[in-house]
Amino acid sequence: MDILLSLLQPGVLIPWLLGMAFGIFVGATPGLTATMAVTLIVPFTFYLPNPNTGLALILGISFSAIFAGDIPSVYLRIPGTPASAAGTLDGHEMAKQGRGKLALMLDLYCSCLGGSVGVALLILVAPQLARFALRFSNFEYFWLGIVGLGIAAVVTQGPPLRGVIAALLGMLLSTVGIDRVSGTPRFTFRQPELTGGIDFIAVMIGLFGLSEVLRNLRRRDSLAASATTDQHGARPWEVLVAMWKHKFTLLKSSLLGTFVGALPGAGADIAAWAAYGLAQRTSRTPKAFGTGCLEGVIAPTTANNAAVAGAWIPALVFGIPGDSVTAVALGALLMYNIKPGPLVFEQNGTQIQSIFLIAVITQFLLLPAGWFGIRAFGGILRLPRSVVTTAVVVFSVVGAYSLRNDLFDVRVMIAAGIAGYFLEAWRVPPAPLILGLILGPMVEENLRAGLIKTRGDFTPFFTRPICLALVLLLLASFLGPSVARWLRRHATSSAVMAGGAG
Amino acid sequence: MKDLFPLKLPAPPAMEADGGARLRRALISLVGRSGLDGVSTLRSTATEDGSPHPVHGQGQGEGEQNLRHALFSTAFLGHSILSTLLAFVPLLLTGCQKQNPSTANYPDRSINLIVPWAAGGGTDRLARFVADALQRRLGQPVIVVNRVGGSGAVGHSAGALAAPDGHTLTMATFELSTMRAMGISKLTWADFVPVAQLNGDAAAILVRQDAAWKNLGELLETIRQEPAQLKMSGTATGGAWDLARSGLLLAAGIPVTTVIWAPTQGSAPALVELLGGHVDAVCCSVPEAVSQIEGGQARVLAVLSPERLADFPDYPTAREQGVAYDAVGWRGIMLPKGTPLAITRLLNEKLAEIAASDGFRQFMKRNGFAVMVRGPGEFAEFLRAEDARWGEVIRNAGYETLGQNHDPGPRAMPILLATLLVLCLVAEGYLSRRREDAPLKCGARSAECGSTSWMSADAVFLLVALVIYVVAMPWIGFSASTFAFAGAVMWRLGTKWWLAAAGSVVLVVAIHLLFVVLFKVQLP
Repeated sequence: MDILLSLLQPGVLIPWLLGMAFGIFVGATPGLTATMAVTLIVPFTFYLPNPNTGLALILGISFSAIFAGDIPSVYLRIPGTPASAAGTLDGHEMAKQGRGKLALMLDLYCSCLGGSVGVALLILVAPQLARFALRFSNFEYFWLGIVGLGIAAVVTQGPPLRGVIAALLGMLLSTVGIDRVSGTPRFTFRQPELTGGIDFIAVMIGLFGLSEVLRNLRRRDSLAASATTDQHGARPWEVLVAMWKHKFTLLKSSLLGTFVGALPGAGADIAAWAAYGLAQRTSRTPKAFGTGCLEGVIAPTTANNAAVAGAWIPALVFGIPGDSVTAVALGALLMYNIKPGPLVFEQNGTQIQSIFLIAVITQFLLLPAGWFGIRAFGGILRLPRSVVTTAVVVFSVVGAYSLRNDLFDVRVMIAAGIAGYFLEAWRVPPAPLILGLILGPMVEENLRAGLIKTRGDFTPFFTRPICLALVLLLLASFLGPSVARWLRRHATSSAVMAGGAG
Repeated sequence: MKDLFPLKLPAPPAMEADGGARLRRALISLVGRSGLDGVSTLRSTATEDGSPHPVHGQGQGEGEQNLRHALFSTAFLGHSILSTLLAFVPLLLTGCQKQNPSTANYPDRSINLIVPWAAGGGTDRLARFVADALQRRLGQPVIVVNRVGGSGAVGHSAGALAAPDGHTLTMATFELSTMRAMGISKLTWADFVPVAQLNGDAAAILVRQDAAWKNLGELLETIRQEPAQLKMSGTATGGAWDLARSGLLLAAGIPVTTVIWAPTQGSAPALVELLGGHVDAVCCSVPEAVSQIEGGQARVLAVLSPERLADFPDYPTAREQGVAYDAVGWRGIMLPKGTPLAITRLLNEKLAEIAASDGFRQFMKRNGFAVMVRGPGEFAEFLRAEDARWGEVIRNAGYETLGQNHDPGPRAMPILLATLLVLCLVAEGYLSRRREDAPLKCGARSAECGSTSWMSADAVFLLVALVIYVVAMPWIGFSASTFAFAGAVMWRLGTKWWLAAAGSVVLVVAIHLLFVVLFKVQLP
């Protein structure tokens, strides 16, 4: 109780809210990431008298930034953070139908709820979850990557083989740069810029954002039409009804999100894709995905905020960061004299309790902060179309530049934009390409590291229990629908009931 | 009180960073030298007090009078926005003026500190501390720029190739000593002027708490008796800690390949592997594993340093256990080759002051970093010795003969992917012909395809403008090129020319405020 009161002082609360506003802005700007924001804020928290303020800032920024990434991905089809790439699929379709506001309010409520479930798991079962996450090694991460790539086939609209082509292209692009297993350069053509590889955020900004701008320039009146033609308002009860209708999607996504976040080798971006894939595979209306359905909005946005909480699980239990934000946060904890690890719950009991409380309160504060962000962003989009188009392009350029302070990434972004324009004209979807780019290194590195460990033996990839489970999951997700169809054909009575609900 | 003021760190120094420097430069052309000092005093007093009303400095002169007037009338709008805006008008007219690398008034603008590693890591944390301490002593902002990638090659080469005028420093790390021998880059320490070494963390060999080995000798004995059974990890193959353990094994007279090195992306994931029981030992520095050691999950068998560590005196060295070998991961500040001696001296002096300060000691202790300070001469000597030593280890360890360790190799995956891609393309070509939809037609989005052309004239205009914009940016500066690009695109899309001009000024100022001031991004 004392901790709660100490957190609700204006000295903590005001920087906290400011930090969340900052997080919203960072998240909504493509190219600026939550990691960057937290890195900038951390040195300044050392000058604050109360370490709780610093923790509040770090947690506030990370949760609000991950939510805010969805704002531009719904309105402009530019993911604000990598974790929002999955959110563009149905979110932007909804915006095109004039339901962008509803999609975003749904995003906001689900983000808070997903975050809350993640925090609840963090408080209740952190040690158990962390211990389970430790059982993942190269073999398991390899299959996790393959399952993720399997989602590429799921998220594809149109001919499925083109999704696979896009994923392969993405994976091929991810091999550029210094090979992280052997440390030798690949496809760098002696260009120093290429040794760093192709940054997937730059590709993402170009592939989704710039190509959308180019497409919208076909007709002079279509860009930003999505934001200004919000025909449907988004009353709270409407959002809540939608959430209640898809409560199981919500639950599944937040549990999956927390777990993927707790894995030290996977973060919020993979969590969002995985949740999207899971929701689609277990949905009654899988065909509606990608056309602007509510489930397709709920799943990724719930999972990515849950993953932010999940990343704290290994961080607090083992002192091992679950993602890049917690890596920065761990450095800050050391400076606050909190030593994460198994003993932290005994040695710094009150500190841990305040971290938990801060995480819980952040979910509530996210509601007003996010609402404000949605309003502000919507306001900007009401400017004349030419202004919005220009601003989007300039922000894409600056965002790509600020990734590594390098104009090379801007060139990559432009090339990806042009490529994305033509790829979509040829009905090759961009989402699997991004997935390939993200998961390519994960699949390759873990396969090779695994083979090095076993001295060339493939069997552990199939015999380890978690591997086996993942392989079965993969098979089930591909064969599942046809088996279900077969079962339904042989059980007419249940089919009638399912049809009524669908 | 000063230290507690919440806005002090991120915003105001950054404001000084570019707002200040550019304002100063801009005002030279606007109002001449006389009014300048008054203005800058006025600005800095206002920001430090954080009060919205500017406090007047003692400067006299007409320029200042005019500016004071302007500032006063719009003080409620926030004088920082106004001053940035003011700074742009002449900047756009004069373009970017090149500064002479004169040493007399060094530093005369903001300094970049390049970090070749990601934000949040140990090197980054140290760099941010040093940047903060340096900017207090130099009176100019020091901005940390993370140039990540290529196992450190990208950041180090950016630092070496920068103009040798003392405005670009590099937080160089251990990898500089090995990247040439590993074939990653042609860069060596000789491409830099070493200024000061600040930190050196010795490598350590860690095992799980419940492991059977009680000391280094026992571990090495197991390795000898059961070759190619034990797995170790810590970095990528050929990374800092892989080389350290290779050197240790060579010094003990054991072939390097008798231990399987499982490549990871750094010490944190390697420790996960250790705790999860997927590898048997980890080689990394003690501070990197301090949570796991103090949490009773991991144990230090040996520290690879000449003497026991000051902060961790309980851990025995490898020398004590009969293997005369040590490996230190160092970090230090370097300047590009050719930097004037006076600047090197000045910076070394300031860095020595910082290294001697209590704040530095406390920071290092909290983070578990070992303080290891060397001046320019000593540092260069140390680096020369390191270069020779690691070159030898790399040669003897046989890193050229890849494939021995059952790694399919860096080419396997691209070949597999390319083959699959070709197969898929052929299959898709066949299938799409059967489906009778030509692949080169707008498909799902055909409703939106108003024109039959591949791209609208507007889109082509935008792309051409974009390419010119990006090519021109390094030459004429970010502000001027963005202004021209934004104005041209808005005008093309049907905005009146004066509105387009006004809009692009607002856009440039907004981006400048957001990215440069708030995020300290160094735009070209």
